[in-house]
Amino acid sequence: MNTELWAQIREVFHAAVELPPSERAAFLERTCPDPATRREVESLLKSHEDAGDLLEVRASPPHS
Amino acid sequence: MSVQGEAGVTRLLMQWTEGNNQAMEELLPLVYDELRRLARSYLQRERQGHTLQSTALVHEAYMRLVDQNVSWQSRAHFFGIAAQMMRRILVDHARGKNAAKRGDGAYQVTLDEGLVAAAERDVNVLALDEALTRLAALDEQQSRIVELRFFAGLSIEDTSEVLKISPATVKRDWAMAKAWLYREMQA
Repeated sequence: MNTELWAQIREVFHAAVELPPSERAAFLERTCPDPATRREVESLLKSHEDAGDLLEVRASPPHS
Repeated sequence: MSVQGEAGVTRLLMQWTEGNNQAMEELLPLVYDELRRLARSYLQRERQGHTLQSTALVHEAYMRLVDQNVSWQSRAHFFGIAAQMMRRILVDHARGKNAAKRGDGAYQVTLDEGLVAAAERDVNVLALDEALTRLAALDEQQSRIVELRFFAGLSIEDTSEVLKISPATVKRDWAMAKAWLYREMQA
């Protein structure tokens, strides 16, 4: 994937992920005319929902 | 670590913060050795679970190695290094250098702060490491966010200080990086 396409996907993802899931499809429809970018963002949004708390590690003070 | 050691690490951190890259070269092995030493002692205490508490290790190393009065920039530099070193230690560990000795083969390292490891938090460190290297080729910033958040356990706010980007950007990039990594690791 080239940098330009990645930057575009990142921008759309950043905006879409802030929306409630139910509004994302309409948002992509409106703002993302390029089908390849849209497919990629849709796929990442789905992974975002599926990933849950993957990699979540609570920050905490050291155990004594 | 001796008093001299603490002063040494703090001095090197400050020099590096002021732009001396030689200081970072000297710092890397000190941080690596301390983290590995701590990791080993944790693992000895927790023989059965193979639980490596990465966040706790990094914070403990910080408390031991660094004079707590350093500037936040120096603190940020320390966590930047510690995250990378922790990643390396966990990968080495998962490759089974110790496991081979005990004859129990490949296993997953549980990165968890709690007493009970939730299944979702069990991550195949080797698969993550490889996916993260691929992510770095696409987006260096996202890969660094994952290192800091996951391998050093930094909060969104601390990560934003280290990378000098807004917390909102950290949050969105973290979400995207996780989604991307999750998909890669399913494939």
